Amino acid sequence: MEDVLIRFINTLRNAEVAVSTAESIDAVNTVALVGYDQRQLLHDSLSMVLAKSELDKQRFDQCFAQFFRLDPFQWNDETSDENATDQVIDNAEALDQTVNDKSNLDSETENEQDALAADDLASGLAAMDIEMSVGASANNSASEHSDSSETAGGASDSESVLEQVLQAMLESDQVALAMQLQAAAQANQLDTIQYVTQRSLYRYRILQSMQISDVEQVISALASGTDAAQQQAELLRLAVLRLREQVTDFVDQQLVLNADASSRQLREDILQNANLSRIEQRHFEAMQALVYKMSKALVARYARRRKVHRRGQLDIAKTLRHNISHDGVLFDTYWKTKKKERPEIFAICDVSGSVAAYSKFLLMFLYGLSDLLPKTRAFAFSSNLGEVSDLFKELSVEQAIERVNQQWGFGSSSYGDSLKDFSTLAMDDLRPSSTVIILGDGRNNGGNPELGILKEIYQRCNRIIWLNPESRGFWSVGDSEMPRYLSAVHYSSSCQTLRQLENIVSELLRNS
Amino acid sequence: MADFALTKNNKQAMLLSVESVRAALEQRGYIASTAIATAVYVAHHLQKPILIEGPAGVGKTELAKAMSACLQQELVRLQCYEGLDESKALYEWKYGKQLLYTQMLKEKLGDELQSAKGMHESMQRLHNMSDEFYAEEFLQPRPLLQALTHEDGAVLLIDEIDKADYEFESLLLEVLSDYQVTVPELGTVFAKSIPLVFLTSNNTRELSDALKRRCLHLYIDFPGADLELRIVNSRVPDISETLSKSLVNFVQSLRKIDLKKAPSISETIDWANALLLLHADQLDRAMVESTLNVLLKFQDDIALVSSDLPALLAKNNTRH
Repeated sequence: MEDVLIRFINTLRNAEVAVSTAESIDAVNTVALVGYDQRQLLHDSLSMVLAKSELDKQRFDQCFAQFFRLDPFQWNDETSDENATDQVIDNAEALDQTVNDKSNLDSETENEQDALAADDLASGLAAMDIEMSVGASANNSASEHSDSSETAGGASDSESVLEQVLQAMLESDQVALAMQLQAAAQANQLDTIQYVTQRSLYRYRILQSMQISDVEQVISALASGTDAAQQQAELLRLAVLRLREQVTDFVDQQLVLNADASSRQLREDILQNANLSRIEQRHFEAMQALVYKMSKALVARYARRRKVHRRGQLDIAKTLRHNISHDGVLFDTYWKTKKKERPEIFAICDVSGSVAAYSKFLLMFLYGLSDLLPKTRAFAFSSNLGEVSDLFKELSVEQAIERVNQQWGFGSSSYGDSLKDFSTLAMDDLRPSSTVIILGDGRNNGGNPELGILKEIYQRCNRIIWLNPESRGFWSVGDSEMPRYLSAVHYSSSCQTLRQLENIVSELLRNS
Repeated sequence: MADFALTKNNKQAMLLSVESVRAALEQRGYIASTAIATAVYVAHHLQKPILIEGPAGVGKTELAKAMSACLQQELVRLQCYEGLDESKALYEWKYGKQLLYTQMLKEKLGDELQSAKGMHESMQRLHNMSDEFYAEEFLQPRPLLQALTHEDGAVLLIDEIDKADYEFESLLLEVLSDYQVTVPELGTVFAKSIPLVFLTSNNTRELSDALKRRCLHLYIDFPGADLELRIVNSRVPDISETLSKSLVNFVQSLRKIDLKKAPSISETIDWANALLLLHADQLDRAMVESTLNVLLKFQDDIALVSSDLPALLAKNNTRH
């Protein structure tokens, strides 16, 4: 039974619910306590142990619904494409209908025989067929049979599989069929399926494990028989048809459960290492999530205000020193305190036409940062500079970026004027603990670079970091003022991908 | 003594199944959903703390109080706030007394060292004197330690953990996972009997994974109409059936509007009490308008709802 739970936890992990080993152990203990028999109870208690945020709970609910479906062949609306699902439901129902009709028809035509007799016939037929098929396989592999008892055991296993499948089909026993399907899936390790291209392989293997080719032999044998046998053959044919569809659906569903995670991982890897100015618009949403994740991770690592204030620890040395004047009577007590401020960041982002594609992601990153580090002040400029911190606070990411671009963006960049604006807006607020990050290509269109202002910033703040979307080789080409600006910058780097951005900012925060 | 044994048995019986937990809570006037009862049941049997999240006023703190009443154990409450540290949460040394002790030591020192010859012997004697500076008598237990050392066990409520500093969470980890506190000067203090621990959070910030990992996570949302009706009836027993029904429906419809702060259960109960006090037997416009400030806590929300009031009430009346 724990096997089931572990597979479920794997499914959760694939759905990006972070489940630790300790939580898995808790889950096992919980299930031992509440059991599997009450679905709601199982859901409630597992949800408490495994999903520990609102988002995780939503994902958990989805996974739970998919994984512990009430009836394995009952479709629920969790499947992504609703229209397609409806279609499938319709199909399934239609099939159901025909099967039912067929069996009605059966009972009508065979109304001279009573139901019991029909059952007898069915089981008799099944038994006979098994003998037939066993005989056939015995003919095929007589030598193996006589050699080892193991293969004989295997044969009897497959015998029983065929028997059970046939019986389930004849009795339209969906639960038994579902169990067979599950067993076959497990035997073929369906839960390791990764790629779309593997689907047909797994379908084939599962159907083989369920001895479908033997079933088809039985059908063709029956089809040439009496009327009653032909009815049975028809019933079986429909059942096989239905089973094939079910196997297809089942494999697809497993693929969704498994492959989603790995393909997402792949996509994230690619996006992280892709040049920011060349990422297409359609990845915008994925990037946004990625950028947010990244900035959150960075902030979690570094943004804690490391203040240990009045920890209840007596600072003995200091107390003694201060109480010498009281004749060594420890009268005034002094306490150990430690204070470390959060990094205070001034981010200046170029949003001019030349770096438009690139600045979108930088703004996204800035948005994430200012969301998480309240002391971040963000500025945007092309020909002039303005503060956008308030926009970031009030609006959603897309809106904020759009507004910033509307207000400040797409002009030709003038670093000189923008630095002047920055100096009037924020120069007085710069402190020795501040960090200034400038994101831009340093292309000043031939204007006055106002190096003096940058020098003043350089002297006032803890450090200036310049991140340039162009690679270093281009920094001295054309109208780029980078060589001059570099003289008043503590650290500069070319920053073209998200990964690079993360590394640089991580470095920055660590040393602040 | 027999009485005591009986209550002990009752406690055991109460925690025997999800259903009995629910029934016991209901007896104390706390109407629990299945998820809540399940959480308490699992938490007791796995000996794990419960981290409760959800909007303000859905009964997170109330659950801990009700459980303490059910189990007849003392409720030890730790209200978290920014700057809370171990000296207020775990333990503190009684510095005043410690200083007095050093004074006493100084006075006694003369007598002790009188006959000693030379520095070496004096030091020897000093070391031989018993060192009581960090004795258990000087330890002032704070809520966390209190809960652990309680003889009959206790219910520990760590309220609004999200308000405390990030560092404070790591301070809790030892208490929550092993039910013990290590005092460096004394050694480890183990729990006499394992307390039932509730942590509540209003989600003003993300809690650390380390903390979450050690807890069961329970999310309490606003209740559905049926559950809320039962809660109102249990908390305000004098209220008439029709009034409680229509006021619950009204509150439920308010929650569907985009308000700054949706009315919570505690506010529904307050409102029910207010209406009862005003001898209202049904919701009419004037009555609702004059009491809306009990339910809604922002002027913008009140203005928004007031303008929509006729439509809301009409919808409410047609429903039953």
